[in-house]
Amino acid sequence: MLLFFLFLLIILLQIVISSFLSPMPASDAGTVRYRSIPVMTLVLIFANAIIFIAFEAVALYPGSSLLEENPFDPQGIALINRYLEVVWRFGYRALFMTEGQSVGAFVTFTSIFLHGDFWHLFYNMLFLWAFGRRVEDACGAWRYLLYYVLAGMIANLASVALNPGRGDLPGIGASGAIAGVMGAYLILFPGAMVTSFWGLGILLRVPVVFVLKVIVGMRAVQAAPLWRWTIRLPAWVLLISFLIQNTLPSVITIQTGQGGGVDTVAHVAGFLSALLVFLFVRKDLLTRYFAGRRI
Amino acid sequence: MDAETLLRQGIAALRDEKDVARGHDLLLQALRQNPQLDEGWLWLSRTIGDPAKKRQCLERALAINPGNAAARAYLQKLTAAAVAPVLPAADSRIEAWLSQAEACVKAEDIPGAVQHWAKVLDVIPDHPVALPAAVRHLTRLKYMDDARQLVWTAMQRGTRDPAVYLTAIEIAKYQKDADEVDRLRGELVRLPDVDDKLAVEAIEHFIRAEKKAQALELLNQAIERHPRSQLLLLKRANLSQDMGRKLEALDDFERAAQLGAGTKMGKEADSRLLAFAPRLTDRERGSVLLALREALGVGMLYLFMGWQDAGLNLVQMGAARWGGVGLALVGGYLLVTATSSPQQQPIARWMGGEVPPPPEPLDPLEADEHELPEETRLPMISPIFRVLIGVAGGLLLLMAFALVFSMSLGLLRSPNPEPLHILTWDEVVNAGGQ
Repeated sequence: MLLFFLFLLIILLQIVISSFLSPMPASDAGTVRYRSIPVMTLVLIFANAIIFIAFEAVALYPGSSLLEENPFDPQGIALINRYLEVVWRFGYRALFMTEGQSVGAFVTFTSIFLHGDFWHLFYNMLFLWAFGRRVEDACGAWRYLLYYVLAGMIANLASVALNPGRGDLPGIGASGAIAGVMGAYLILFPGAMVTSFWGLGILLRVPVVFVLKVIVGMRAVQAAPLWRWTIRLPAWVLLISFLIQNTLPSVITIQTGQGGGVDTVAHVAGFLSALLVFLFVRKDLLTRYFAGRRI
Repeated sequence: MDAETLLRQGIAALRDEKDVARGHDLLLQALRQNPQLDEGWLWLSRTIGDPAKKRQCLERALAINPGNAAARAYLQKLTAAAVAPVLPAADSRIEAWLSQAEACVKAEDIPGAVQHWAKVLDVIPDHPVALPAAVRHLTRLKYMDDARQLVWTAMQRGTRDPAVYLTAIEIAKYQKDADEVDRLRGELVRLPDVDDKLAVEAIEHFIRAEKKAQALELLNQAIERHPRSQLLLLKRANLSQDMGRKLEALDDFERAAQLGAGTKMGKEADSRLLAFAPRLTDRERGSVLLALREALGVGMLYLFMGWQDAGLNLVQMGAARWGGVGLALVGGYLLVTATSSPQQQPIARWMGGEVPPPPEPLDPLEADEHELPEETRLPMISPIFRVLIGVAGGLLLLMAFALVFSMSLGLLRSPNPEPLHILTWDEVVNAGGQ
């Protein structure tokens, strides 16, 4: 029990630290019109978590702790090699398709369910939860799954095609597919409010609310508490800032072939695949959308 | 801007903003784009002074839609006015009587003024100046019966001027004759020239007096005459919802929203719809294009799969993979037809589909909004055919998968014997050391 609370505390601390300067979406606050349970989003989160635990975490974390104690521990090395084999065999490598190796183009599916470590998985799933629920509602579970996979494929393809410096490194992670979900959210629900963690925003909010409430006496904010742990932001602010944050490094990566560990090209390509979401949304929603009505 | 939007804006300019010039311009633009808008001709007629041109507009409206009751009534009114015109001599006499009445009012000789107005009303029983003026002054002088008589005469001689009815309502209210007030309000709503705002105002009284069934009946009649009035539809939707008639409410909110979500009423209807589960319309159910769109999504997925399987080279996909993409399109379409679009027209009709029976009526007060049954008038492919089509679609998709993923499936059967480079911990350590 103590370990569990410690684990939760670490997650909370990580969220506080990483969301201090830039906002991190936690959940969308909008209404869901068709189904209240986002079955496919939950299935995807569950599948990603299970695959990570069953095929990666069981080797990565025991191996790492053994190697921390003794860098030459054979059991630790064996475990880490097992983890690396999963990533290098099932991650997205152009070689598999051009040379016909490993499982070939099946990696387009396997790679989007693999993650580098727990935090990679955690943040991806947090974003999927925040934005996937409503996009799933707009598409229906199965069409949403198809769209998710298609966005992941486009992200993978763009990453190998546009990043000259990528070499033979395997691409892993659901972020390309999730970026597609985020792009779809931006197109479909730009004005929706998203509950977010944002340390700086929460701190800045306090004096603003104080002035409006106590000094100006604005009626609209009288019921608002001075302190809140989360802040609600319009989706378009979060999503466009995500796009900008990824576009600039992507341009550098495409031009120079240099980039960090984050595949921003895949993020941008996945995000842009949102233009295809209209092939997957529900019929009535599509006609409403193009008639300028609320969806 | 499309013709429908221009028409809506033109009507709004006339009805809400009373801006005849702008309304005229907008309606002309709408009719230039689509001369088949009967409502456009009807409203245009109200912006024109020349009776001959007015008549032309109304005749066009009726030629397009012979069921346009408002156009017919307006044309009849014009015809009646033309058949029994006020004689020029009478016209000059009326002018004289009105001037004399005005002079009497200035001299505070109200009985004298009333006498002159009465002379006018003998010729034109619903004269728009003489009638309200006479009634107002008679009421002030407490000659209620005389005032009432004037109004009654106008009504008996067939006036369709809503102002006369409003005056009659005021008199009946003054005399505290509630039944008469209700009767007159009902009559007012049924008048051909009454606009939707006035109708709603009259109906509001019935709603406030908890006479909801009567209000609903009047709303039905008003909507028959103003089928494109968002105000009336919204009012009926709200009333239906109050009365527990959720299905009817839903239909009216939907109709109001479909008439244009840009207007205040449209926005309100649209936001009220958020409380209900969205429903497919028969237009969406019956659309082949919307179903093909979903199949295109499936085809797109297969195209990207084939692209990757062909060594990330679209040009080298080859005939088999392209064939696979084609099969995926067909299979996707069949699957979509079997699952989400079994009412496409005319396919469903060709396949001998039947219109699903109307849903079991739910207790409107008990039913959850999300459980509201959906009624449709389109035939649906029979369940057996749907299963067959679905299975065929699924099989085609499997075949397509085998074609577009041929290389990768081959690798599963017989893996590439060449050693695969997989990074090891030693390499990581060595790379870190370097």
